[in-house]
Amino acid sequence: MKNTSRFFVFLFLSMLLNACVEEVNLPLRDPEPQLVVEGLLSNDPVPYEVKLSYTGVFASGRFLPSRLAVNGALVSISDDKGVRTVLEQDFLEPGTYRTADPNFVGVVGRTYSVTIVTPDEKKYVSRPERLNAVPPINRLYAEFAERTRTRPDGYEIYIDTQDPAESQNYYRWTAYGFSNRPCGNPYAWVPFFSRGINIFDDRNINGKEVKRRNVLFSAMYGSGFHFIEVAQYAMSREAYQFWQLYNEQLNRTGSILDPLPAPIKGNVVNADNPDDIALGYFQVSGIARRKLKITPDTKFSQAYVTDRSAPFVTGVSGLCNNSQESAPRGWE
Amino acid sequence: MLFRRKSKTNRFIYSYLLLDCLPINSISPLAMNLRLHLLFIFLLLGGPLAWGQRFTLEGRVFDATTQVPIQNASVLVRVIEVTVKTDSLGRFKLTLGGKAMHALVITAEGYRTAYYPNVVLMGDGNMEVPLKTFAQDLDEVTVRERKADQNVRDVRMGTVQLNIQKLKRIPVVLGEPDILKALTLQPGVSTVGEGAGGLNVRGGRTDQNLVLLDGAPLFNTSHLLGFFANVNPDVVQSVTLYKGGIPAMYGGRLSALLNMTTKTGDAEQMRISGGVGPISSRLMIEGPLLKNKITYALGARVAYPNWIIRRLPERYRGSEAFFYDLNGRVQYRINDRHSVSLSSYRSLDNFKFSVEDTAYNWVSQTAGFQWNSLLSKRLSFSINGIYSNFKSDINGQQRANEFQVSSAIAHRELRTDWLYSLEKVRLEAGANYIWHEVQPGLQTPSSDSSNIIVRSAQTEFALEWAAYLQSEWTVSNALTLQAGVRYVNYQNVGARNVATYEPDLPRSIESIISTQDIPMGQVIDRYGGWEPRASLRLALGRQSSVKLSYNRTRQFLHLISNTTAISPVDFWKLSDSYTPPQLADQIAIGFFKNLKENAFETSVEVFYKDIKNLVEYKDGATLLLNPRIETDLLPAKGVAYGAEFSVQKTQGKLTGQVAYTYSRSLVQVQTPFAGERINNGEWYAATFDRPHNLAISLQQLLSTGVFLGFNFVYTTGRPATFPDGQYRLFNSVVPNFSRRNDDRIPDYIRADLSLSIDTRKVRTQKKYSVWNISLYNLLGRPNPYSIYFTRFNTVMRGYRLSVFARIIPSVTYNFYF
Repeated sequence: MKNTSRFFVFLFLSMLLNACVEEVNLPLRDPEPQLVVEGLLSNDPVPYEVKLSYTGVFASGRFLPSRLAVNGALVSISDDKGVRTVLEQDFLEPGTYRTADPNFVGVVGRTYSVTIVTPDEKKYVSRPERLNAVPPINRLYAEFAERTRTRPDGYEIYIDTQDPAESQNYYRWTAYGFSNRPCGNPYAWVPFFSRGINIFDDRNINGKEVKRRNVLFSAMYGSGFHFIEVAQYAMSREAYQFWQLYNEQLNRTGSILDPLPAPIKGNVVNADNPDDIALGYFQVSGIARRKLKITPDTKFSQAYVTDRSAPFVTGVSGLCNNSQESAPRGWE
Repeated sequence: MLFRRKSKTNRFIYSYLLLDCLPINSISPLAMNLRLHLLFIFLLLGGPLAWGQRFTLEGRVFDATTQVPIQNASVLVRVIEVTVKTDSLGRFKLTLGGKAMHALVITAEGYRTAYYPNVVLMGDGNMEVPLKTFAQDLDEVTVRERKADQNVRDVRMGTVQLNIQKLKRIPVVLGEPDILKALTLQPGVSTVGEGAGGLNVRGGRTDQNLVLLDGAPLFNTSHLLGFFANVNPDVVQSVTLYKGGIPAMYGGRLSALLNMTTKTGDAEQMRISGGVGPISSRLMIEGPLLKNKITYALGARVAYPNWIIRRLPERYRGSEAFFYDLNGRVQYRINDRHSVSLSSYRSLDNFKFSVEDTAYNWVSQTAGFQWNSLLSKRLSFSINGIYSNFKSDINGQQRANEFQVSSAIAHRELRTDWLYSLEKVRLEAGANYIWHEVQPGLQTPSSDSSNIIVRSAQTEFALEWAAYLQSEWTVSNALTLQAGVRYVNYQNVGARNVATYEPDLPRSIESIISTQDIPMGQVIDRYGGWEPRASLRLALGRQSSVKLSYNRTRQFLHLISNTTAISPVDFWKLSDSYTPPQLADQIAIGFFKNLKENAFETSVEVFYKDIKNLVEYKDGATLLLNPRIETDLLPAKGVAYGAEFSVQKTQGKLTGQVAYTYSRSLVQVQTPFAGERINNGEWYAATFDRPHNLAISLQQLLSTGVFLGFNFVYTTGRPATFPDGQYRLFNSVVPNFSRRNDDRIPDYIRADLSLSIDTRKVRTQKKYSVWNISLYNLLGRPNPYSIYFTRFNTVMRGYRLSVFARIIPSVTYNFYF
């Protein structure tokens, strides 16, 4: 609903057939580097990871340049019962810290907080978050979707889950999959991931079913298997708001009907200076997972092979990125 | 020209009276009837005369066509240079020396000046002054339309009277003459962007303007999301904008008063007029139901943008847009002392965007009853009953999630206003009572299979009453003082569930200590107080004056909107325990000087405005349907100041205005909780803060009925928040926006040209048409509307969006039958 408003202007601009969009150079200011925290603690098996970096200029989101990684920080996670564990830095991955204690596992109902002492002796502490229980994914299913101008034929992946009526619930979904594609002989397995931040709050449907929530699109480049795994997270309200802002920030269209841009304030704050708020978020979540295996469907693949000289088969960038010949582990 | 339409009355008498004649074309035939009246005075009272004896001359100024009294017309007595103003019933009163010959000049905005050069009083007298509108005057430019030096002599400052007739002569966008767009050419009035609704007056927000249509407040002023104003200019009789020095009679909004009145209808015969433009068509019918007793005026405007949409690329095809507005007014002139009128207005918009399966509707409605009465020569009153509402709906049509979210505001008001005028003092007093009802949001499923549940923000109720007293005292020719005070009391009442929050924590759902159900009708909070209003004028010679004004205003209604411009998801909210009323104090000083016998009017006005309790929003606020919206609101302080310079040429073939404004509008959000502060609690520029603002608007008469119009606008780009750095989070590069409104989009420059052709051969011609050919954005400059940032793969790129990136030509045809 929120995203709708900005389409208004776009429609009108086009309607008047006079609007135009031009690329401009960013008049970037150069503020002091700020600490960025990315962490997740859940009821999944150990280890849990916290990544620390500084703000700067990035060429790509995949890799963290070592000059912007925060190495040599003291990172620990503690719970409301006073249990504390120190995280160890992974020296192969700059700025990444992991729990080492195999017994430190997230428990539903407990409250967790991260403490970070940076190399320049600044101490940051996250506001404690409760590990909320998550309802299971009741149904995970795929529906064939015909190609559009922007994507090939494929499967839309949906989930259904029952929202508990007694509490306010905030959800997030991530998903990944492998599909068997014509990359090599005969086929190879290509991993792919859900894009964007898929979040939902139950205010509008409290106590009812979350139905037909789209979590992933699995493109069909051949008549092979599709393996899908979906994770459903229970989040705090604060974490939900954080992701909501994060989403808005990444999807701005420049209309004056867009919400005003704002810093995405996280939950990690300098213990000595409340005005110094780190970017990023230390999220504490209950996670439920579910897997789906889509067997090749003759009908669709036949149609695919015979009738459609799909423009997506050839020359699609990333079609065979990171492909592997053997089936992924855990799916056989 | 004077005798083009032969008067039935005796020309000898005129000739006799017009001994020392003035430019002949400045006298209207109707003015001659008056001279006849005066002659009667002369004859009837022509007894023994005494030198030095003083008599009282009373009069009534009214619209020659509609018989409607004209308020605020100036009656100037030449030589002694005394000016009086007419009251709301069009009445004025003068005390003049007997036997001497006086010259009277009667002027009113939008009307032709009436000139009575030889008024001789033999005793107390009465006169009727019918004024003709410019509309009937083809050759108006040769008439010295504003002989009176109103801007210098009036005690008021910071006011703009818009000449409705000129609207058809200035360049327009897509053929729509627009009252609000025309006002943005005035000093101190700006807008946040091209195609954005509402006005920002002297650094005020768009919701801080009290927009009155026949006394009823409008809660929305836009069609098509802000591209056009929703009041049909054809039906409007007068438009007055008060940027400061708001009379004590009015309250409830902080920054400005925009007072529009509609036509009451032609008293003599039925008339039909209208217009056809590329986006909409207009029709107006007016006339007498009972000659000179009951008149009516009906206006309608309907838009058809859908045909444009059908020409759009396929993905927009299912989209729809539509709007209309209707006006109606009936007036019954019972006798010379009493008249009643009924007026009503309705405006509707709907908009559907196919890609998102969401439709939007919004509707404004008003209804009003007015009784004007003249109890004695000195005392008059009016009683008004006013109803106004605004509703907006969002309809979601996504499968399994069909919903409707509606919000509404209703305003019910009773008011009475009294005027008592003495020789040098005018006293105005009155009171009003308002019942406010606001439904900020109600969500319902709109199909049986919808998964959406019913959810709502709490309905709000409040009552507001106010009383005022204002006097205008002409101390001497050089000094006029207007002082008023308004007392307002506001109470928000139940039924309502009110939460109490932990005082040492930021307000949030988690920090609620307790909640309490307040029963229906019980008072929850009381706000209000005194609002002083004062103006002073000191003449410096005949052609210049200095004016001062101060006013305090309160606002109990807030438009909740976390976007740069007014959007369809905005809604209104009443003041409550956690949202105190906004309060503003404005002080202004101005210098006014006329040159070349008032051909040029120049002015400089400087203002300073201090605002408390502005409503700001926490980062990431959820506004719509939030039952505890106070948890997402923050109180802010505001300050606005500026200087407005204006040069206006009112006579000759070339008329127009050059206005330059320098102004700032700043906001500060300071709370005890660091995480809530915006820009660390420092002052920052309001989203509509545009320091430099130059507007030139010129009209050149080419030949009879043919005008060339030209506009030029330059404004500083509005503030925006650009990313200042990036960071990496969950494999994405995220821009960081650490400082709100610290950057600006590039400056705005636009020039427009128009040609308007009036087909009348003579000014009395009843059937004629007016063509307006406009070229909007003549320079074809892609003025930036906004700068935004989007990820391209993983790299952030900035884009500049322009709304009208080319010349927008349009043709509008107006007809009068």
